[in-house]
Amino acid sequence: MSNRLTALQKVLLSFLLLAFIGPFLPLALASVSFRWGWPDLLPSIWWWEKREAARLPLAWDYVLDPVSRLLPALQNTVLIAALVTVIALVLSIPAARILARQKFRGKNAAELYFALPLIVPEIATGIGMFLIFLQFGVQGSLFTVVLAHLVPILPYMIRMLTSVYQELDGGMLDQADLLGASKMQRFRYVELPLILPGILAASLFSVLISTNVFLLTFYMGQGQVETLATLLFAKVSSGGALDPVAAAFTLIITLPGIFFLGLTARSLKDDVFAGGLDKG
Amino acid sequence: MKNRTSFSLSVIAGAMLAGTALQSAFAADANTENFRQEFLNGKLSWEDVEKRAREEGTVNWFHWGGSEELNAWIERHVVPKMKEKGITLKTTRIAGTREAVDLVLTEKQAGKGPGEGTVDMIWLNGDNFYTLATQKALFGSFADKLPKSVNFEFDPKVPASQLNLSDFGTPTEAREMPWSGEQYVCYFDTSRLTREKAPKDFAGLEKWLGDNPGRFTYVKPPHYIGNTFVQTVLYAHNPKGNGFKEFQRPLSSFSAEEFAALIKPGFDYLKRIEGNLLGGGKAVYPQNQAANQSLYNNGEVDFACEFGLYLVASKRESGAFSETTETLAFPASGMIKNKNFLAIPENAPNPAAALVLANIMSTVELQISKLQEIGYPLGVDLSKLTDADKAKAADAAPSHHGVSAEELGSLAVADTNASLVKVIEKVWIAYIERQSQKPFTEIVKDAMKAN
Repeated sequence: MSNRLTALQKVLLSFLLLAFIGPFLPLALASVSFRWGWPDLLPSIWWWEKREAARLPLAWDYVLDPVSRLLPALQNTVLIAALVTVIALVLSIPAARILARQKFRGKNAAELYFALPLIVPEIATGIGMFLIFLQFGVQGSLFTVVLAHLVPILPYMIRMLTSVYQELDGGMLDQADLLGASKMQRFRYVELPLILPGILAASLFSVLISTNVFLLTFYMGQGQVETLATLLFAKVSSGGALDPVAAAFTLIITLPGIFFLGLTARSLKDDVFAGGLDKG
Repeated sequence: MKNRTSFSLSVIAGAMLAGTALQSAFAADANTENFRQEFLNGKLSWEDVEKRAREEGTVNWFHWGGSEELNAWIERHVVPKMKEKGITLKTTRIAGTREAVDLVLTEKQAGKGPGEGTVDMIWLNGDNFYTLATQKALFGSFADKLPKSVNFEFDPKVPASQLNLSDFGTPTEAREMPWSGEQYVCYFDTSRLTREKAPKDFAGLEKWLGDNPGRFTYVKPPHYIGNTFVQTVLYAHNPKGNGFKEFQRPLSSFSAEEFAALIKPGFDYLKRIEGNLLGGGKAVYPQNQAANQSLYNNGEVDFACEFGLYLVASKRESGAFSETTETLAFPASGMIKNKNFLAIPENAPNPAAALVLANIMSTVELQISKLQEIGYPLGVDLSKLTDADKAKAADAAPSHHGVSAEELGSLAVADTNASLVKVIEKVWIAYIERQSQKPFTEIVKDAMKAN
């Protein structure tokens, strides 16, 4: 088979690229504009033309100034996403393992139960948790936000890892047993490398969900924990035009996701399967 | 305070208020409650308050955070001033003031008394204040007990005191500190519309819309910007001829028939102009002031109205409005003016620090800086300032662009009583938006009942 793309494939590929990158172009332009009104195709006055004259920081000057609180929000977002993902993995791997491999009474019910958070609206979960925490006198903090994010993330995580385990060839594990591997060795050297691509994919999901959840973050943080999502929401919820600052925030909020996507894409490209077996 | 109707869940707050199952047994923080009583009863000196404020160390201020100019001004001017007093000012930028009000009420409902809440201060006015007042969730009458109270007219015999003593018809009783003032104004682009041709009153607007169909619209009630436009129309069409005055009465003093007769001419006017509003027969009402500004900037409407005496100046400076945008004094029948305030919730965790913040915000220095840097009008009353400060304030004020302060001042009228606003917005939704065919009195009756 030839590696050259046909004309149709090229057209489709460019279309796909356009669909992915296209929306970012007006954002990038808006973020460096001073005035960009209809019917101008490009901003009529650019941000840098007015920078010096402005009394208060404009566009990127505002975004990068400590007053915008971008850095703490970015730190919170990354920290929360990382914590949520690690905790979710620790909880989901054993659950997925059992659901995929064992047959037991009430298994269907358990699966349905794990999927429930997907059915219950986020707002109901958020208010419910908020009231419970309030009753116990727990203040809004990073910790409460992490707990809240686990609610929508765990069902996805368990689902994805369950199907990963279902596709895992049990014979491989039996073979490790036969060759005298301990349970830990078997998990570390055989099972983990085999499910690693699945874990990465599930983690990607977890990070993407966590960075984008607004309602739960707002409620469980009691408005005190600022993340990129709450920052952007406070900025754009007043509606109307996409001003330079909102555009810049929107560009930045995509960064954690893009970064992690790049990271997982790289890891998935390496031959984790063979690499893992080699170490054994 | 800008965005009073926010996405944030007033519905849920209502549900939570209804649920009493969560009344748990938190004892109020005795020490803080003691402080509150002593301060409100005038037993503490200002030094005592400042000392306690230093011990508290922080103050949490919740304010509408949608304006970069305001955020930057607070960070550069207010934070350092509080630092000098040994207090860290932490601001929470909310999308709508309702969020902070809901938080306070939810906490109160969960049994969090004085000293046990999260919010020390909220920037608000109108129905948010009304809600906190009716739920008895306010700290108390503090505003007349601060050293800088001298900058405000609180004497009910002086007419200027009205804006400080009444917030949309709710008596403030010094439970909130005036912080800034606003007036409903319109803005237009002189490159698209000349000042001579621009409408001056509602009759003029109707005629102008006939010649220029689709070139104007107003923000959709129940957003407060839209409500205010409707109120202005009702004032102008008041059949009793006493304009805004009739609308200062509380709802309880009206029968449905009387109120229907009062607002019918105004609503008929709104119905008449609807076909000529933006949208080519099917009127388009923007959701909020930002959406309205977009319509204006994109050339879809020729002028638009919202609160903002210095809006044109600050938007020209930030690039949002063109250099040909000017202020329009419309309508000649009266432009609604009000103040907005700083309130301390009953369960504020750092009430002494909040009092210090309220005091600092009322200094002539910060008031003038706020006016000069970001175009937020004075909350303090000019009549109470020294001549030197008056001159400074006059120098600091940005231009209104095209109209004089005197002209705008002469057209200012009071806001509508908060209890009427809710009924008016419900009538608008039924009569204009849903095109209810019921007799008008029935619509008004339903709206009053639902209240």
